[in-house]
Amino acid sequence: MPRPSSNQPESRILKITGLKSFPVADAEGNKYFFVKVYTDAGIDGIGEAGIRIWGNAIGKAVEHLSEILIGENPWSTERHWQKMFRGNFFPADKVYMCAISAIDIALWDIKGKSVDMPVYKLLGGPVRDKVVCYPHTQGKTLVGLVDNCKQAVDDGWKFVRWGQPETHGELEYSGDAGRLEPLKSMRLAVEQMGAVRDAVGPDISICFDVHTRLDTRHTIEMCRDLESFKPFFIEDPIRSENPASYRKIAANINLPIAAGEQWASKWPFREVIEQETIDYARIDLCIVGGITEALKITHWAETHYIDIVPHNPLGPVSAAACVSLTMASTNVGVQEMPKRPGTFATDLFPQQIGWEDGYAFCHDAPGLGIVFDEDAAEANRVDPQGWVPQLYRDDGAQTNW
Amino acid sequence: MKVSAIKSYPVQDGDGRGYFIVKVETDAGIYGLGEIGIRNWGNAIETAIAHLSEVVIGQDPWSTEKLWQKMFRANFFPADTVYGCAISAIDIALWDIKGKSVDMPVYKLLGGPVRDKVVCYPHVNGNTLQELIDDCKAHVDRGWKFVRWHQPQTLPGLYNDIDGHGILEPRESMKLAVEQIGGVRAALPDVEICFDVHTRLDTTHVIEMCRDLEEFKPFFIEDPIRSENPASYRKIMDKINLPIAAGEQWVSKWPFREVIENETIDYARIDLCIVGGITEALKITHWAETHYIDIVPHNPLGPVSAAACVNLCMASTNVGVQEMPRQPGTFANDLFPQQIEWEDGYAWVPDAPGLGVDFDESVAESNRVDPRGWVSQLRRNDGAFTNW
Repeated sequence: MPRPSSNQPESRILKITGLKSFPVADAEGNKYFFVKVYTDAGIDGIGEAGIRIWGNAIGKAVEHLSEILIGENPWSTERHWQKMFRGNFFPADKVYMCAISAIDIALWDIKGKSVDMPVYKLLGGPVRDKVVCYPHTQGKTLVGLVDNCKQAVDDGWKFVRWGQPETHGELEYSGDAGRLEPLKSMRLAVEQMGAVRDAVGPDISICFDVHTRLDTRHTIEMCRDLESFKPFFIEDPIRSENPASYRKIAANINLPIAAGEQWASKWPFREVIEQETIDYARIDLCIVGGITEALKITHWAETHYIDIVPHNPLGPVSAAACVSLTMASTNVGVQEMPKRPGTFATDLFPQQIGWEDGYAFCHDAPGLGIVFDEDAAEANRVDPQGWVPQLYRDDGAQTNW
Repeated sequence: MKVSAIKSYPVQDGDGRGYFIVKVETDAGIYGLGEIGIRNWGNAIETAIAHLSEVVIGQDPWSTEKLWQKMFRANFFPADTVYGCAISAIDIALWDIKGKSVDMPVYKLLGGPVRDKVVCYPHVNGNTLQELIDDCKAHVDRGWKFVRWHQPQTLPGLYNDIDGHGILEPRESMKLAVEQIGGVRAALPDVEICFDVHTRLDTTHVIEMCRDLEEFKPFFIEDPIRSENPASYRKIMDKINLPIAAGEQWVSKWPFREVIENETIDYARIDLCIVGGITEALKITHWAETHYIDIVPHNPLGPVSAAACVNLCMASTNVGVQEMPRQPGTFANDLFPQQIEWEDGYAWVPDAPGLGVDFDESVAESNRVDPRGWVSQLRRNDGAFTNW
């Protein structure tokens, strides 16, 4: 019998016919970068890129990668991943990985739709019925933050999460000249967490995101002061460029550490997983290389009893991809879910994943379980390029947002 | 779709070769096949399969991850080798069902294919050096690109352990091995040579032998030491300048962890029918990719194991070579009228639903045997027991 490459009955070959990038804004002005992949069977898939503000370069990378995808079978996700990642000699960087991620997620969406199955079923099936999530809570003042956390708990969330406070006067400054003076921010963080813990009680889990804003010695000092409040984890306590620095963090901090949202591929995760210098792997499916790569990291994290907490600050496609993965994975801590699914970007996505009482779930619907309104997206194209808010030290030096 | 029954078939083919096949049935009429890796322990494994069926029957066969977790750790004690074999056979059968239920080959569900065909090595043998060389040549003439044999016995003949009481005296065997590989290399300069120490030597001896083998450039040296202590591969890797293959006796990803993460092996010899099935093999394969370690799935068994291995290799980017003792379709045809394909030294899975292998249940039913048995036994000249 001939080999598979030459023997697939024509009727069973599904072929990719095109890819299109959608840098768009929803009705409220929130921006996203989606990639849609089309096939000759009328089935299409949707993906999302993780660094929207680099969107123009990512859009060019999507066009470039489409040269090797058009005419190919969307089911060959492993071959396509290998070709996209290393088919141009240089291993893919973050720009190309965002493109690969969006394409890979869209291919998984197509695979699910083509056999009328949710993606989580293709990933090994549901190991849980629903996935506990943490929202983004916030406040420009301590009272504002505490009130917002209490509101989230009243709304059913089991977790709260906020980030390392700014020192401009407002804890979350909205301009482009924000301040982040480390020692002051550390004191504010301790105040915040003490007040929130008092307000929400011992049963609500607190996620605290340093967001790479401190350096190693400062974050160690702050975390010792935070221990008594028993946060669920401290996220990104240091910057991401040097994973080996997590050795010092793990040796000196007695709180669970979450990291990984900026890493593209399994290789930056290797050291922190194998040396167990992190507790939660913050895989970003829209940066790391899509569902294909996220699954490989998740499975090896299982070997080390490390749970995943997929990074999801983006739109409804990222949310659906994350929850598809966490429904099918045994080692899950919690899922980031900034806003309740179905309450935003509904103009672009009339169908999104489900949410109830602090838990998210994918519907038993084909693919990722979401519906993208392409006409609405076409009418809402925007220039994706941009910058995150900027933070400075009191001496005027640039510091991480 | 729900799993409705799980049946064990310890059987033999027309040539008297034994296999232990597991059939998982569903209420949709679709069934899947699996195989266990340690047929000699078949009675205990059959009982474990019956035990595990309590948590599998009634479940959706697509829930392979949930069922793997449940089978592996839902009885508190992590699964051992007996339960690992039972899990493996059930998991492989579930993947077969998944493929059939969507009319797709399993390799497609694994993300593939990344290649059209998988290069394979056969088992060659001979009771004298000349017989070994002749058998190697005969295999190369039939298209094989690799040959493989194992650490020679020292009495009564290199392979003549039919009486079940061969002799293996290390230093003598080491000298014979160097003669063998030298002889085969001289006769066949371009063939790839896989040499399987088969856990028959200890660390000191295998290091000495491998230094003498370097000039013949074997593709790998397999199982240079016993499997109980993966940390010993550190010493092997420090002292041996040949590629090392290991892992065929390990259940789950955990014994593989150290040798992959420390890169103290070069090829991961995952046995899909022991390790925990396709679900677990895929996880190990994917992390081996991180360390540029290729897999060489262990496949000394029957057509179901062969099909599962080749499905994995067709969908994996990091593959060295696939063990394939005999040409598929040339044995056990009475039991397995449909097997994977082979041509010119390469195997591939046909574009057929599931694993691409099927068995004749009525033939299996009439060929049941007691699977229990022992491998051949080896002893030293002083009468001490030593590994086969």
